[in-house]
Amino acid sequence: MNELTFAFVGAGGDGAVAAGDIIAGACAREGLHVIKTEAYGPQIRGGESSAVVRVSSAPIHAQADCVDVLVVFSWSDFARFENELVVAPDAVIFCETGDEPPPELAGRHIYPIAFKGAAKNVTAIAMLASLFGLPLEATRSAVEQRFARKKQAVIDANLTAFDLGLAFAEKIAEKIVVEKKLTYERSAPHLIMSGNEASAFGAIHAGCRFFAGYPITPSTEILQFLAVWLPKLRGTTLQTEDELAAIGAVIGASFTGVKSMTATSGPGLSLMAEMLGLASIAEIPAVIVNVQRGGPSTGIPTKSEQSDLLHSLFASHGDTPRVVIACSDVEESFHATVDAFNISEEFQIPVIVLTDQSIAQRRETIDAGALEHEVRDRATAKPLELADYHRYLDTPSGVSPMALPSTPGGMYQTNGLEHDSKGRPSATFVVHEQMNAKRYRKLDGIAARYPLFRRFGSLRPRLGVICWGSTVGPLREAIDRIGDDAGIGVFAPQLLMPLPAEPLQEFIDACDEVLIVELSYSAQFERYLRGFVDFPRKRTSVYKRSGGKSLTAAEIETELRRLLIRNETLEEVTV
Amino acid sequence: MTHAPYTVQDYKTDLKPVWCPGCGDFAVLNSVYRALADLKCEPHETVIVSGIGCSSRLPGYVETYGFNSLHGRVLPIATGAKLAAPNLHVIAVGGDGDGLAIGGNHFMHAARRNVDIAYFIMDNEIYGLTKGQAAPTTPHGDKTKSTTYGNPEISIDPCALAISLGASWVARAFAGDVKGTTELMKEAITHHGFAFLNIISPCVTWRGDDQMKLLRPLCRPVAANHDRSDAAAAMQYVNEPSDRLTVGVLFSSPRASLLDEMIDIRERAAGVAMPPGRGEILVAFA
Repeated sequence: MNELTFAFVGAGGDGAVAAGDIIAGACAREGLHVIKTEAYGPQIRGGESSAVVRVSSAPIHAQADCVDVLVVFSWSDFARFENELVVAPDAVIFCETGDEPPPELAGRHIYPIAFKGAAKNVTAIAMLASLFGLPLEATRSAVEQRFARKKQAVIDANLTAFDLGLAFAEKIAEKIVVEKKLTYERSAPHLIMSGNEASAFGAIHAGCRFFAGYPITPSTEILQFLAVWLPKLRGTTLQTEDELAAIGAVIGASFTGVKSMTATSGPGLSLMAEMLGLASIAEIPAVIVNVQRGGPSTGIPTKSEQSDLLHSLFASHGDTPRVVIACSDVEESFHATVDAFNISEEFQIPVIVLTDQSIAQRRETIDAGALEHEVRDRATAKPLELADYHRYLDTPSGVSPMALPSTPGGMYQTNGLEHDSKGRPSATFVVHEQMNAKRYRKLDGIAARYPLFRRFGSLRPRLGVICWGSTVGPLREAIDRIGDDAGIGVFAPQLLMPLPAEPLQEFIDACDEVLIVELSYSAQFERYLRGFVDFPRKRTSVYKRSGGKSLTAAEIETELRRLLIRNETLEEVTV
Repeated sequence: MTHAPYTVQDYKTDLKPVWCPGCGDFAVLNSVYRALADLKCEPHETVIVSGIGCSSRLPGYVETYGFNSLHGRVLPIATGAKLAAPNLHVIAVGGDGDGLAIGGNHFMHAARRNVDIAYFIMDNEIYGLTKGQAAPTTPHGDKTKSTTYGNPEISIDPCALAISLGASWVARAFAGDVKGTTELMKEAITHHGFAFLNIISPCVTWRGDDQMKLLRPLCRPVAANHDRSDAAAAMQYVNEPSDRLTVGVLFSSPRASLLDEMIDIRERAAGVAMPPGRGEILVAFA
């Protein structure tokens, strides 16, 4: 097998999530590709938890359809995840001796093991590593590394538990038929990080030295990461009283010339709407990472959805130009954040990075070399421009020279009020029209300079699929399974505002049939696209549903096959 | 190109204030000019941030960097500016509605954070720009455009609030007393930490054109023997009866400011070591 998916389920203290982390880390070091996700019960602490680790020798883009190897430390905790964990019919299942499996799993390959003990998760890992072809040495050193800061007794106990796992494996190997065993060739080690960490690292890479934020699931890891690293970089991380203050502090800091960012989720973005308009009209760079979760209102804080799309694109009253960039995996979270800073600084415009829980909180392997990206800076006012300084000079690009406080001769007042080229408040139609045009003109330059979209699959597709963000990964896997001959092509815009409408229209025009895929009950993406492009009548459909569970490659594959078969049938009828 | 503009004239812009004739804010603006000139604040190293309201138009009339922002959001923006550029004099200004109603939450946190800014509220006990509705400072029972039958709510004394929230410097001024207000502004601007100055700045249009005349005789300084480091003693000057208006520094107790804390955090995080390179950060993910 070139890939396997492991799952661990247990109560708090069982170390299910830690087990997933250790395997994921060990495999990343071997150069394998890994995606690791977690799920928790509603308890703040000590509740049931699960970890799913997909390991593959080839690149992967989403979590697997089902679990091949399952370790259940307690069946009562498993019940909580029954709807989320799809266990393969031929899965190998290990559970604690004496813990009776649920009747619906009768007949499966279930093996009771006397895991008992403080480090049972380590015992389980060692056993799995030995039985299923995971890198043994790397796994052992991942265990050592995990407990490196603990007392020697703790390290020893875990290594003893590890050896116990190896002994279990040896004993059970005679009884159990391992049909699926991982085979791979070792290659250069990968890094493993979450989407939130990649966004935060992207901010640091781009030169962000001021972050203000308010804790909100599922974006909080960005605040926490930057609370550690920005002070070391002589920067500032401020936890504010609310999201209004977070974006306010970001705008204030950026006004002085420091690259600044905030991160939030839907409810926080709702609060930031008015400030988004301020940054837009005052033309102050600001980056907002919005990690989508189920909405509206408090919604489903711990689960993914693509339903902040229209809000991100249009939030704030008035005609408010802003930029929205999407990312579809962990690596893109890094690049999108750097792009966001580049665009924001270069064009003096607020930029929203739109990601979601499934990307932000999963850990995924990436090539360290991939974390490079050109960094661009803000153009500040030059001495000649300061001679007769117009902060909001109407230029062909719409971008005006920005004087930073401390610059002699650059004094001006910036304003949430409509203002003239000198920043003086103005309530006249002529100025308002001119300034709206100037601010919106920047979007043309951005579209030309940042043609950010992905195109893969068939070049001359019979079936064209349009999607964005976290649906791109499972779609890519679904297409790989169906194969190139089916003639499926994909267009996935990363730049959502301004939308690369021209190449998108070309793509649509070249397809016989179009499918839009998204994780939004009201099909926000489809509704948005219809404002910019024309779809073939009667040959356009949408596959969409509510979030709360990520789209899977399996369900997209089913939909694609349904459309392909329907078309074949139609062709036959036509003939 | 730069010169040292130490006269009031150098801080004036060519914008004409939108305020009503006789508005207390004219006097406040004069005090701002004088305070900046006396302190020799370089215009390009000074930022005046405001919210929205009559008084929040002030930054446009002062030749410094200015930021007329959103209703209620003056303090977060001023906080971000000061933390990002500590060399700047950051002065936050606005009205009582801006700072205590819509922006009340930020007032609490700016005070307890002890962020290094001066905050001047121009307190006229009314919403002026929207033409005469009740503010959090409007006395109980007062009839306004939104409290036709009398204000059903009791009012806030901004100074009482500031002292209880942990502001390290709290004072009250009367706009009509330009000399006294100027001196208090100078102390506020040079104070290390969050300095809050509540300036009684009468609204002649919605609170009565006799306000300046009526309030002036009520002014009296804090007692000569007042211990300004004593919060309890300061509290005797808050929620004063309507026949009294005490002006001066009510409370001053300097402590580590937010900037001090941030610098301390940086030192503890990194020591004197060079800032980490990307390799050092990425090692956590290897």
